[in-house]
Amino acid sequence: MAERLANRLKERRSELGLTQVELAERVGVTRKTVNTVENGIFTPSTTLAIKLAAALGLTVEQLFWIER
Amino acid sequence: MNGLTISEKVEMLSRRRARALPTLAVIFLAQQASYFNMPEQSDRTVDHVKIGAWLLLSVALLAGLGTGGAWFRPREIRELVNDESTRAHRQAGLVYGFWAAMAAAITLYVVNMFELVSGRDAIHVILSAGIAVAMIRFGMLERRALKDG
Repeated sequence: MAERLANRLKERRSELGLTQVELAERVGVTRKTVNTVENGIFTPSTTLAIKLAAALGLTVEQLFWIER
Repeated sequence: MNGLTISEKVEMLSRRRARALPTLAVIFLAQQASYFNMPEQSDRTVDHVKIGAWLLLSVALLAGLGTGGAWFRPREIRELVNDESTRAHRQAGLVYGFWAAMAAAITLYVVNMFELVSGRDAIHVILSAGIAVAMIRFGMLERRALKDG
């Protein structure tokens, strides 16, 4: 069965009142990258996943999980 | 671009590149028509200039594809314009380009069984197919990624 990396990036970002641009600036990528990760189009590297989790005050496991 | 934040500049450059890639690929392919319309064994100076121009454009496009471009921008911008998702898209484009070049080579091999294809013509077709397909795929992925979420 196909596996997909799901995330609660958008939800958490909205909770903190951050825009995609603001989050992108915090982790050193473009808005486009944040957008593609949020939409599940792009699977981030471990480094970026850790940076995103830290920027949003969550652990990587709280932010990302595998959906079957 | 003065007065814009780094993020705004990067967004603008990324959008510009996503628009330019397929357009450049079409121009690049359209150039082939003039090459294949040249008389055989053509030795005119103008024909050598045309081939030279095509080769220069090919090298420039390959260098752009290989490095991500933005060569004359500050390092900070250059790194952001080629961030993680862009590198992944470029890699995907290069994979498509590789398969297109292989398909072109196999097609030429078959054609050569029935009609003689010169080495220069074969290189022209293989290089053009590889570069154009890589650019179109890279551009398409970038355009999709840039859509507002």
